Amino acid sequence: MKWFRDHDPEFLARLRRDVRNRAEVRQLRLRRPHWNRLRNSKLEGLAGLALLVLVGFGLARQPEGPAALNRGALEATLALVSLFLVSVLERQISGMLTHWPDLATLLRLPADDDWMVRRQWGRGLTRFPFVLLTAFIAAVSVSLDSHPGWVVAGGALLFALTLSVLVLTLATWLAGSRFGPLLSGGLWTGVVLLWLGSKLFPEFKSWLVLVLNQNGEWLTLVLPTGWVIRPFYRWQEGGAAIQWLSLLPGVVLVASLTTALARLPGRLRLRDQALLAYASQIPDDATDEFRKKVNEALTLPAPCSLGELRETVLTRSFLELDLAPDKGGWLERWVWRCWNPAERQLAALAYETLPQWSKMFRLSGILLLLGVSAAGLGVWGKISWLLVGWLIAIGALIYGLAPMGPTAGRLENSWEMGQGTVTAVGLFPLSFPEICRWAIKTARLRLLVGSPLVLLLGAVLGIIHPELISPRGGVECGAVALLAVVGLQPLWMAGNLIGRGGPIFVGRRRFGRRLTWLTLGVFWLGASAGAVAATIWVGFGWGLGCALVSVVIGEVGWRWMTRVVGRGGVELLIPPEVSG
Amino acid sequence: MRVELREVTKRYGSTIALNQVSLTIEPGQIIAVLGPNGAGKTTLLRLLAGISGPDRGEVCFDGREFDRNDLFMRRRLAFLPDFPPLFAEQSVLRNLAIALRLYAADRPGVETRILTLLEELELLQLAEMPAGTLSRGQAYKTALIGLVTAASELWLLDEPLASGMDPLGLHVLRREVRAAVAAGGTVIYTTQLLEMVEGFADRVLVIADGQVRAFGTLSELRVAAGAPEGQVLATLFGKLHESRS
Repeated sequence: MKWFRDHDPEFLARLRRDVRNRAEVRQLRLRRPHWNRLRNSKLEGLAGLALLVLVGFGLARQPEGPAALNRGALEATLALVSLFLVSVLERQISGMLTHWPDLATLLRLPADDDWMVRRQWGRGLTRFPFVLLTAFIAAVSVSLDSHPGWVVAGGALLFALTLSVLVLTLATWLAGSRFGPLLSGGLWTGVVLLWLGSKLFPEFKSWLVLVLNQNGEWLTLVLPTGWVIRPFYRWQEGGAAIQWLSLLPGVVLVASLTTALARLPGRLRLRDQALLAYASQIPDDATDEFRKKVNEALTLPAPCSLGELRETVLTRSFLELDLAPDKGGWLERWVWRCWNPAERQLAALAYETLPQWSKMFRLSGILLLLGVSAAGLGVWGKISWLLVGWLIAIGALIYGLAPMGPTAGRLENSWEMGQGTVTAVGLFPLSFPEICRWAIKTARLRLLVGSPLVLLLGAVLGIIHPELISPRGGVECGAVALLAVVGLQPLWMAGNLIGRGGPIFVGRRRFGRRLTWLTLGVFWLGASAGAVAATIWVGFGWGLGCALVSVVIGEVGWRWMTRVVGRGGVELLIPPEVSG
Repeated sequence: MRVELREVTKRYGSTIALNQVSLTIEPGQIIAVLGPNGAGKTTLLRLLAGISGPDRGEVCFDGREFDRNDLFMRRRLAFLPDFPPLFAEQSVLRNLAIALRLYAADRPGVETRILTLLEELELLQLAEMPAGTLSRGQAYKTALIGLVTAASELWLLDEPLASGMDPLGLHVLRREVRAAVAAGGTVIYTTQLLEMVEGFADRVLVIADGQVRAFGTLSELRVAAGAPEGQVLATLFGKLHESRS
């Protein structure tokens, strides 16, 4: 074995590289449920197809006049929407690679990594015909009126083939990297925001058209999918042959497909948790400082001598699980002060250090402040900042409520056991009602702190839209929405503790249906929306009534669930087909 | 702690894991649960630990129906699955501290016991390591220390002899099991290793197809099965296999 010295550049380079690789390598989640969901779900692909085709037809039949998109904007829109195809394919390939249950077995057999990855990549291509078809239909829909049928079909096929191969290359580059989920999340968030904007504000569409008309040209040049779409469009309009030059970067990209494939196995290595190999490579006479540096780099604690460890045990210092409130932010410190001694003990079991709630709250506040400012400019300055204000205000609401959700730290942990997963409540002597009460109190305290944000948002909405609701009405809406959220929180909390990450079985005979997160989420949103709607259209009293119903449902629900848990009526071992 | 199962039935879909099982286990015994794969051994332990609830029947401890929310009762039993549940990012010592706090067993003097066990099981040098970096055997040893120091009355061990522990770990396990039983505790463990039953378990519970096929001391089973000395379990399993096929 080669001994490395602390000044040895080879050792340091290798250390840096390995640490970097570990940070970048995605952890495999080789679980049957993920795999089943991935294989059976066609929703994302269908949604991508529908979207592209609809956009294609929509663009082909857009109105004349100032509301129409110019050529650059058309190209940019199609290029942007085509990114959905990249995302669909990337998700499929990534899923095939990271959730494939057989990989766990094959990695332990003398199978070639490259072979496995290429095989799974190939299986991920099941959606490639889908991409091809979508691109073809979109191309046909765009060029329906411009050329004779055979030209349209031939050109569209050529376009579809080129675009699909480009999409495949991009998807392969992105598969297994952190950019894949970012792209997917960004695209779908964008669609939701665009839909909300167009529904809420009549002027949004014209603003969007303006932005696209002004920036379409360079956007098409920047987006890889635009490199194919641009020459296709120019060809349709009988543009000069030089337009085909923009295909060149696309050709280069397609040529890099083999490189992208070769890089895939490197992204899918299983995380090596045991990094002790390095310990044997540090020379005996290395300084303590160097050892510490290496261990810190490897995210392992600095090794203690046996004497120190004995002392740690015998002085009982390791038993001190108390949290240090001075290390938290203002919100955490305040919540900590509100806990009684028993709750502080529970918190010490749940968290190693106090969670960072203040940071999220600060971010929400900043976003809301920006939203309010922008909205104010919109009202008084009569500029389109109104739209920006709305978007940011909605963002603030989402951001403000998200961290207010239930968190019980490691008490929500779950472990795989046989074919299922079991939660901490199932394995350890933890009192379900006690944890629930503590977690609910914590969540309510955090919501209480967040409530000014929501009330302020209501008031701002009243200022922006006086024709719809008064500022006072806005505050009332905020209050009932908050009450509905707080009211249903216990049910959410109880569900979270019983079966984190999966639906809950409440005694098959007593409760025939599965209570999924989706059900709970819809229930929660429905209750808030119902209370707000009642306040706006009927009156505050009715809104308050709706919110109080939510409070009763939440309270009765978690108490009932607690009793069932006590009797052993809740299956705490979550079966594989629903876990994860 | 007296353990009772009264007409307990547990189903997983159309599969009957346990079918109307009635059983009484008196305290101060080591019970080995044997049976073919899929017989219902682990389900039995899960029901006793409260992870699964029976579809029918009752699980009782000292004559009282099991209530998961009764912390006093929960602390009197400890379940150790075949892969021990440790908080992966927490150190060995921190995991032990959490277990001791949860079982309200962080009494004075426990530190000496922990140190002795850590040294004996060669875990002291790994005490500050995250549990996620441990091997399977080391993780089981860590959980075993937690179990021993938590001093529960009822130990439920799922395949402890196939836990990846080295002979040293297995020796400590057997010694601590005997000590716990000598102190009035009960240990119920599942195993497939017949040779680890004779001379260690006080009573043997044989389960097949979700039903109790035999329960008693080895000598009682020998008489019932008409088996020669030293071949009781082998004979029992042979008969079981014949009846199933």
